[in-house]
Amino acid sequence: MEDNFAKLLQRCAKQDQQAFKQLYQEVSPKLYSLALRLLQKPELAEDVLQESFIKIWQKADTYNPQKGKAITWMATVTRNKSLDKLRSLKLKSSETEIQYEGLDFASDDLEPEHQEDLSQEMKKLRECLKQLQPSQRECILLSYYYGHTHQELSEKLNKPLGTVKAWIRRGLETLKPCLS
Amino acid sequence: MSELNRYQNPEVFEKLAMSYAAGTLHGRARKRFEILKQQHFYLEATTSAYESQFGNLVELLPNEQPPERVWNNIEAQIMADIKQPSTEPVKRSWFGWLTHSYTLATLGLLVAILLVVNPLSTHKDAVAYAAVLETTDNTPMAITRITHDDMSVSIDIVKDIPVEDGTILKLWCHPKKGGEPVMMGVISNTGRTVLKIDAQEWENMKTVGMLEISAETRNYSASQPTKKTLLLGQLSPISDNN
Repeated sequence: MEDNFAKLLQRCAKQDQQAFKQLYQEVSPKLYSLALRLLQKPELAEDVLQESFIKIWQKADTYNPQKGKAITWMATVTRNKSLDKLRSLKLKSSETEIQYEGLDFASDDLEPEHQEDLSQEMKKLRECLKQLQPSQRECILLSYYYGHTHQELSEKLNKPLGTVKAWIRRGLETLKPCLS
Repeated sequence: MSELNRYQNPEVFEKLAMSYAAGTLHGRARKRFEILKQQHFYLEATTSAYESQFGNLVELLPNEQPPERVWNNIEAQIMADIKQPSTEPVKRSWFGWLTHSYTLATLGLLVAILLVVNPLSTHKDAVAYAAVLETTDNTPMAITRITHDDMSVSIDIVKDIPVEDGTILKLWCHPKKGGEPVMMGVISNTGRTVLKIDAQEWENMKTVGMLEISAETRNYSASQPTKKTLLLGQLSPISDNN
């Protein structure tokens, strides 16, 4: 499938500001959504979104389509920036007022029309995630979307720390051959 | 097993890379891993591959429209950058240059991270050489680096190569102009092998085109590959642009 975001990124690498604006308009709602979940505070998420897009503009020439889709590259930039922000502010999600939570958006019974919008890669990842036990899947997705530590997951799910660690370990072990 | 060796074990580093990309590696372990992956190509490459897979999860998120001021700030900043281009000469280490240049490569996943083909290399002395060795179906399987600093050839097997009993793997250099390949040594089918080279062998690297790993019958002395070519890769010079 054609990666339109990759084309826009390639134009950004040539300093095409129009392409950059279009890319921002199309991608920022997803990346802001990710930053909001990781940081829980809109003002921090805005900072991170801004920093991420500056980096995307400056580093567009380092994006390599051979390595993956443009959206996953930009999501990684945003996610890492969010985690850096969390780390620099020594914020713990358990100490922050929770505004965004839950995994309804990642449930198995997505609306059919929504399913159609998903890329082949995401459909494959969903199939892999379906192989996990619900508790394993929940822990991994909460870690990805919300940046929860093992301890935070243990408190949130009201399960012993060792149990949470085991769920994650086994979940990743199950995912590995599927993703490979 | 030292910490470094632990991270060079594909079983270990692949799990860590996956955990890092999925977001389940936290605190000091995450920090430590970030430092290590900056130092080791294969960690960076493996992590990047998993980040690319988990990054698809962003598709499931509901859209949240950011406030208009975010774009205004971004636009103001990039306009300021464009109006005030840096007058500083660009300084890059050859590793930095490598990061930039892999966007030009059209090789496979690991190649993009690891291999640099420097178009200026004919004008500068190479400080190192690199090759990603691939199977016949273009799957990157091994990374070879030849460095002047420690006069060594290191071969990192990314995925274990299955070998039959009584069989060993050998690394060969094929001259650019054709002719008999030169055997560099026997290598392991897993993890890292380091072969020392002397000054003459380093000089000879200028004339090498392809690297090959072949499976050979143990105890069979041969001056060229006799059995099965498993992996092939173009050796490319890397120059220090500083």
